[in-house]
Amino acid sequence: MEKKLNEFSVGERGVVVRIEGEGQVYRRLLDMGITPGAEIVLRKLAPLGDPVEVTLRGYELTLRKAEAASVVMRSEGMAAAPASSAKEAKKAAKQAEKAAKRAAKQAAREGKR
Amino acid sequence: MIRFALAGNPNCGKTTLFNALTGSTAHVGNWPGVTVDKREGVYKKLSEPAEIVDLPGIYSLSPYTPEEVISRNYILDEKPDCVINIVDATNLERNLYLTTQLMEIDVPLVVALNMMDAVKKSGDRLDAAKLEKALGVPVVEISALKNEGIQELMERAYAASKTPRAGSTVLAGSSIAHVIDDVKIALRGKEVENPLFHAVKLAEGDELEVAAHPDEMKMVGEFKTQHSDDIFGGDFEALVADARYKYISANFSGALVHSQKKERGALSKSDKADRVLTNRWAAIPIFVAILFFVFHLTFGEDLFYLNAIFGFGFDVETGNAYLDAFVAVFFNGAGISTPGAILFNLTDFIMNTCLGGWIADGMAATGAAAWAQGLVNDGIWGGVAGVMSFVPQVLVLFLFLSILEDSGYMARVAFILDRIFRRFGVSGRAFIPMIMGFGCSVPAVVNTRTLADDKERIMTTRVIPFFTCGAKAPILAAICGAIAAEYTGVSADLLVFALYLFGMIMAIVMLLFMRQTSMRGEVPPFIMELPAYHAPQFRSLMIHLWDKLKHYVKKACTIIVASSIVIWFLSHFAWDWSYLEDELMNRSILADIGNFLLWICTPMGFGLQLSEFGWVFVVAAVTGLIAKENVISTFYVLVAAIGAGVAGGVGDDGENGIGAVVTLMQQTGITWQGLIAFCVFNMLTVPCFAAAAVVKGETPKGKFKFTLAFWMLTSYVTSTCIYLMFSWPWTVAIVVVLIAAVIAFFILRNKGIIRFRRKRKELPAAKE
Repeated sequence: MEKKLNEFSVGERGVVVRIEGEGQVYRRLLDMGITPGAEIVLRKLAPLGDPVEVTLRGYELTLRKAEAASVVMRSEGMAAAPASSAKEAKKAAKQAEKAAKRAAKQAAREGKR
Repeated sequence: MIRFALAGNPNCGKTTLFNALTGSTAHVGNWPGVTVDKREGVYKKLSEPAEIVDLPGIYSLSPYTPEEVISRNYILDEKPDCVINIVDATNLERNLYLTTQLMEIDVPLVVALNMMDAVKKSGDRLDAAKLEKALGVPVVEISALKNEGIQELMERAYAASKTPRAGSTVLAGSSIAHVIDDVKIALRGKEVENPLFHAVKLAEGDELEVAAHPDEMKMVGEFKTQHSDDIFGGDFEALVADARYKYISANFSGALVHSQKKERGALSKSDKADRVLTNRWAAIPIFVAILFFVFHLTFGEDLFYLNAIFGFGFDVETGNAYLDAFVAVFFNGAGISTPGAILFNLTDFIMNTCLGGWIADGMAATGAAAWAQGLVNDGIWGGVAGVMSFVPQVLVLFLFLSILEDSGYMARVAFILDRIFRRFGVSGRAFIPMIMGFGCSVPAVVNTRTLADDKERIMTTRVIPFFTCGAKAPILAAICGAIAAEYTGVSADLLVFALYLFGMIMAIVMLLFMRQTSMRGEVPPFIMELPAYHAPQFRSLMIHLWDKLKHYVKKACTIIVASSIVIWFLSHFAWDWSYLEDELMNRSILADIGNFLLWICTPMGFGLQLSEFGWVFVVAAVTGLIAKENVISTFYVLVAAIGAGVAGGVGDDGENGIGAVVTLMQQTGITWQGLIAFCVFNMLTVPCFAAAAVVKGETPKGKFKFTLAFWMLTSYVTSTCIYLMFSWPWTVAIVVVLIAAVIAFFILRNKGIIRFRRKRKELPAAKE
């Protein structure tokens, strides 16, 4: 299903099909790596809802919805698992991390002695 | 001397490498014919010294932004012996995109894989040897930050510079390889340098190239008519970009092996910080709070308002004047000093209480003539000390701004505020140079070069001075401090903050005004990389501050001293060149000049309505056009004389800027309304010579006179309105009616006569 990048919702992943337009903005989009076949994830919206933040080619880029509207995408659904389960998983990971750090610190202290 | 040019994406660590290479010899130099400052320095650890040129950061060699054109022309025309392409190894694909373009130029090229330490830390592996084979140019792993691999890089660059290199392209396998080849041969036949580069750019339809090689462009045009492609049609610009990225993914990305532990969706530290700082609800309040604390910690007298809240205001008395003054540096009746205030008090203590006193005593002991004592104490030392005592405070402000810049937060600010700034006619990106303007207008104006749109750039350079710079800060600090000292219930740092805010509001109002009048047009696009956050580097912060400090000391020892001496002479000599005692200053040349100009400033509240020493303000405002520090140094020089001239004078030798203004208030009878108008005038008027010159350099030819007129009119009209409205509240009605009339005119025009898609609600909201 073809869909424009500005119509993506937060967390949605897709592949660039083509870019419409010409001139400077068009060229900048190309230069920044938005070329057909590139994979893009919409990361978040700015506080006032407009510029969007996307991840592509391993880095983060921000562009306005107006510019995103010229990028035609093929959506591949949500990138990450929905928030609730992800959050829980993260919490668990954090606790484990903390415990590991504590253990490491203790070990270091003992080592010093 | 051989020359190496550093090229690479913005934020890939070029400047870090540059500093690592050149050490303390780094300096900013202007190049003839180009209006930019490329940095240059010397690397000495090779068999012959190498000149290093730091080019502006670019993503591509497209013809659209000035920096890209500058870098491109530098490499093509100045022909460095070797180009060192710095590649951020943590962001390989996009960085190599520029590399594939640089490869097409016939110049020795070495790729420096920077930030290898970060790559290794994340557990990824990057095979430099594999990449070198695929690229066909030397690849060296370095970490500019940790100073690793730099000597090897320079040795390989040195070796590479000895053998000429013909350009190579990654487009050889693409469907337009044929036409590129043909054009290249045609260009070579005409003995054009870098035929491959020009051939590719012609195929892309690059504006600059099409004009330069019309014949070859015809070849491309013919080929285009025969060419057909499912995806791109005849759009070679997209085809070329796509081919580059495809080639990179296919051939180079294999050199990078991701570690197992990096799973999809795993959050890095940077992501976590970002979650909070660009949170949908918290982002804007956090930004406002950060700005407020920066100014509070720099200018506040009462740390975190602890004194106002808990009220432990008392003075420490030790019985020793010096010790008392020293204690007051950290703590006084107003509360515990903030870091900025501590530094300010400390330097003020050293410069005025200690050194200034000793110099005066020393001069008196030698029995020098009265005029010589006056010249040294008031003319030279007074002016310089006045400026220098504010330097540490300004450095604190710079430190905070550098931290914001270095950490990557500034880019987020642009992201957060773009929506708001778009309403004012500029992109969020334009806000970064504006914030930098709080430090100094000069680098801020240079920074506008990263804005792609001409109108946006002109508008931004015009309003940057409204963001009160470090040199104007002392004016605000001194005047607000004096008002707070004379009127109860006024908080100095809140007043300073309000004036800062007023400057920002004026910038917004004037942006809107320009968008409605001389600078009509569409809002420029906003496409920007958001770099990963990282902790600011202590070393780079210190380098930054050291540069600033040097800049200030140099300025104080040259322009400020010279101006102070001139002011002192003019204020102590009459037209017949006879020396005047301090008491007789009103008969001096300067007084006459000031009095002559007095009528101009009358509507602003510091003109004819003042009593005898009123001309001091006019003189200060005029000297401020040379350097804004001069406003304060002029006060120092002149108030020293006034203080001596008044029987039982208050701030005899003006202990500090605040004391000087208090003396002036008492002597001239200037009202607080007049003082505020004076502040506003200095904030909004033509900035210092240095800033005005840079703005002139960055403005298209013939436009600068409008910028000058803009500054003068804005400052004059605004401070007149401020003075009138505060002095006679009923005038508010007139001003409001006038503003409403202007807004109504714009709305009517936008609605009726000219069809223009613009929401009419925008204006009144911002005009307040």
